[in-house]
Amino acid sequence: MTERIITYAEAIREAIGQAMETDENVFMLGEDIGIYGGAFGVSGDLYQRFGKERILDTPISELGIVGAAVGAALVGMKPIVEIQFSDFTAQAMDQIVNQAAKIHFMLGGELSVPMVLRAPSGSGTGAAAQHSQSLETWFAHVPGLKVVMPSSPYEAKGLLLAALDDPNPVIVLEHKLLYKTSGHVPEEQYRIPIGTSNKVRDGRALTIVASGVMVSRSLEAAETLSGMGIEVEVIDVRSLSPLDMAPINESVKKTGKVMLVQEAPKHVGFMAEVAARIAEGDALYHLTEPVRRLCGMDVPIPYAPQLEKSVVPQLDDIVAAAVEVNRGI
Amino acid sequence: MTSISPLLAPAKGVVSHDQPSAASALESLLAIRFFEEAVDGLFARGLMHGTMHLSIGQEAVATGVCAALRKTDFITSTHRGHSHCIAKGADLTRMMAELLAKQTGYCRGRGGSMHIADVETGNLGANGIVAGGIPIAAGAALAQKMKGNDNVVVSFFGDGATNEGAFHEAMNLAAIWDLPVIFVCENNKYGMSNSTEFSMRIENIAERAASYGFEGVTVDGNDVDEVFQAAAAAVEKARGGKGPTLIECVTYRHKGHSKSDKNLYRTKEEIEDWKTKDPIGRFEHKAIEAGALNQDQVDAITEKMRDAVRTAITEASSAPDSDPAELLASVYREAGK
Amino acid sequence: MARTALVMPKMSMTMTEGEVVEILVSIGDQVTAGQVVAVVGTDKTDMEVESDHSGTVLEIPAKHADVIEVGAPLIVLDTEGEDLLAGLFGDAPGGEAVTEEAPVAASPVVEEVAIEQEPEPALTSEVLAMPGARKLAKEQGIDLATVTASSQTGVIKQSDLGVLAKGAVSDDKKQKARLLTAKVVSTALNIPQFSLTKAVELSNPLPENSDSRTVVLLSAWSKTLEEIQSMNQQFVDGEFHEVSEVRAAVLTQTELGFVSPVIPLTGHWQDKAAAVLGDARNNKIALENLSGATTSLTDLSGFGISQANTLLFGSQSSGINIGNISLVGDVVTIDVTIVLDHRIADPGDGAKALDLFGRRLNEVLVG
Repeated sequence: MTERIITYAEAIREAIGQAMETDENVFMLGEDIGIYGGAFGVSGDLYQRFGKERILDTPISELGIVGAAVGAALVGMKPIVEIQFSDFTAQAMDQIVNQAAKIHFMLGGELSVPMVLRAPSGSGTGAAAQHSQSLETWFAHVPGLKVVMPSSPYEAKGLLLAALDDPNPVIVLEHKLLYKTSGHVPEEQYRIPIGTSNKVRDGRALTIVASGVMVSRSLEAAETLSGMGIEVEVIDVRSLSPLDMAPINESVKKTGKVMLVQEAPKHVGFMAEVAARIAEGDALYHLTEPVRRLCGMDVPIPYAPQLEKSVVPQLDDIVAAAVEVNRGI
Repeated sequence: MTSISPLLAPAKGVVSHDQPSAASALESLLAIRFFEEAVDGLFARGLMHGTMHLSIGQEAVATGVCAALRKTDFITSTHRGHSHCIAKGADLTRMMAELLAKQTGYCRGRGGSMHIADVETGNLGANGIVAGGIPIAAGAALAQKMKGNDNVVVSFFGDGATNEGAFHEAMNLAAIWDLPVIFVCENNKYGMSNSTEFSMRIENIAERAASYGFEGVTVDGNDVDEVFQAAAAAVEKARGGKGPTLIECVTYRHKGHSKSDKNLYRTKEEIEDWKTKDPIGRFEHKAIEAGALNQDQVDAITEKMRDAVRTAITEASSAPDSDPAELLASVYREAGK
Repeated sequence: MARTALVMPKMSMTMTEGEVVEILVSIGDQVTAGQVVAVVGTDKTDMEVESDHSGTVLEIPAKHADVIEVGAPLIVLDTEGEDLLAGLFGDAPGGEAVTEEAPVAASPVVEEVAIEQEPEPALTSEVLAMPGARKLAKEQGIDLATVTASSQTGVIKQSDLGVLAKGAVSDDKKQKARLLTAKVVSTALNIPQFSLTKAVELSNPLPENSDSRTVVLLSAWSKTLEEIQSMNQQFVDGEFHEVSEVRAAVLTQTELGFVSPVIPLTGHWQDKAAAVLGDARNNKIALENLSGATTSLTDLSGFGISQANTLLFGSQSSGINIGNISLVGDVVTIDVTIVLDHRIADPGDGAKALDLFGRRLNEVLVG
């Protein structure tokens, strides 16, 4: 395999381009994805390469375009919807939750909605409360949707290609802060199975579970912790639905200590589900310390940089919390 | 397995003036009427579960529109959707089985009255969300255009749906992309208990098309011929790549909104008045007047459709109940299927 | 013409029956489809019933104030048209109510189940412990109240228990086990106790197999306790109590050290003893074998010990220790030490007990 360093945004664009070359039913629709190249530059030159029919620029009409994607998917197309900010999925929730998620089950199984919905997620850009949310739990709570959060350029390409193979609606939440980060990405097409969690670092002292941007932030924290003699294991929950608990349970049984890191507000957040599943199984008996969640504050994301940083776990927060968990009660 | 004979377009453009088209349209009208009367009766006797929305009185809309469609054309339907299913050619037995919560139902008992879909006849599904199917119809039409075929998509919805954002977004997308979609509004005058006079300031819902830059027409929704003619023109336009049309079919539901409706919001006189405009009686009368059908033929079709519905009930009743064991495995489609 | 029943209609999703408020027609009346023929009351409101058909009223099975199930007939008509559903569900037109079971499953019948009063579980709130520590303590028969947490927060962790889960490894396990023993036996300080030792002559050798030997020794000891009534007591909270069930804590060696499963010496206990001891050797002690010993058996005869004074603790009022087996001439003897709670027995009782034990043991060995 050819290894190159490209950005997260480039990896996504490459996956879309390769899928469109391979399958004529794949097309993309969204706001400002045409000549503008996408609000975060993801679609880039795809418009020039594939033309306006397959890179379908839309009016500002989230409910309409997600509905159109559902309808096209029902009759054999493979739409990739880009919602400019994941916050705007609220405008399209009927089509996502009541239509896309339920059609296969509710209508008896003949039809399905092989749609991919991509949306930039998360805070850190000073975009304030309506452009910075982490809404993954909304989608993960709806049976019928699959939800993935790629944590690196490599993950972004592999998960997107897997999402495009999937006959079900898949929500891909891409973190805004990752778009410009770089990493090794094979040029060839490859798939990362949806419904798997991934151990990204070995360690014996404590297990950190994270998704999306919190994975790279936790890995960075792990290096600092290593310098302090604390070797943490890091598990990337790349797929929230379906959720693969096996690597998490295995790690917890090994370390006996677990810290769950998420950007989204703590209350009823996704990591509450992970904590509950640890508690439901025999991993619980291996815990030597209580489960620790390190989450966003239960507030809307504020504008000012110092405020924004203070409501979401930062590198130092992860290090400090890990030291505490490691020291024990 | 029991369904109506495929609806036939009239040779001379008027459904009731042509024997084959009149006979097929009457089958559709009566199958819908008897199916829904049977459902009403089953519910009243406590033999049917849940709730359902009856379109008794509105049969001409689905019948007239579907007479203008091919089998390969698609429809999206509503919570009041039995008529659309039947007119597009669905199997009455599988529909009845679904309502009776049977494993052999269209949705294997998971959807019920409000969610019948039939891939075979191009029915992309009835929708429990008001206006939920309209953007889906636009998307299915987008796919036809991208694939380069001349299939069209009809979206059925009620007057209430035209106050939803989804209606307006779908109308706009269909307009700017010249999509082969026909928006068919069954204006039965009430969104549950709210009259159109209460819920909108315009006189005709068809006027709403103008703001998106395409044609809207209002027709007598209790007249199969009028509905067909408007639909046929819109279908021809859509197949020719000339974009969407909004057809408002003014009609009336004889029954309440659903099974918990006490009809407190409309008068007996109004209901009785609309019953005199019953689309089936009118159609029979026109067909006999035009010499397309005689009374014996009408009686024979009536008997045939009664039998078809009774057969559907008998066959559906003997089917196994829907099976909870398969629920968890049914949420997602398996890859490769 | 056909008989058609107008039935009690289901008018809402939850309606199962309705009350007849008024019947508006009489036998022989002509009715037309859509005509209001009756008024029925539901839990929410009174509602009019319209006839689905035109025809002549033949019968009126319902009368004012009747409560009638959904689907049962109110009025029977002689109709011109046939009822669309007639005969499909075994209902004779206008006759009996629909008899066939509804195709839709009825609500599940919730059976009332008498719930036995569970014995009140020990409160977990009195001890702070991680779930893993609780599980291990339960497996090992350790009372967490006797364990001291090593952390400042007072939360007991597995490492505080001094015993280890299966497969786990630790260098200081013996140290931990000793600490635990120290905690457990500290209650012995509250029991005034004394011991007496005697060499007991054996007419036959003790069984080689340790479980068989335990059963033999326990049999002899239980007979002894039965016969000396005064010893079969406990002194608890300043009062004497008869021991209702003799329960013996039997010292058992395991890979991880010594444990003491408690065997109740009632019924056919001999048949079950080997299983309890076997489980204990595998670190499994059932809840009923965890505590409540009234006496103890400590067999150290395989360790070259001549005499052992184990301590009475907890609810124990007596204990018997088996020491070295010696051969003097052609006479085989074992050193037997009994430990007694001075409040229930004096040295005279003790001497009597030692003598009796020797005799009962030889009887058991012969038997």
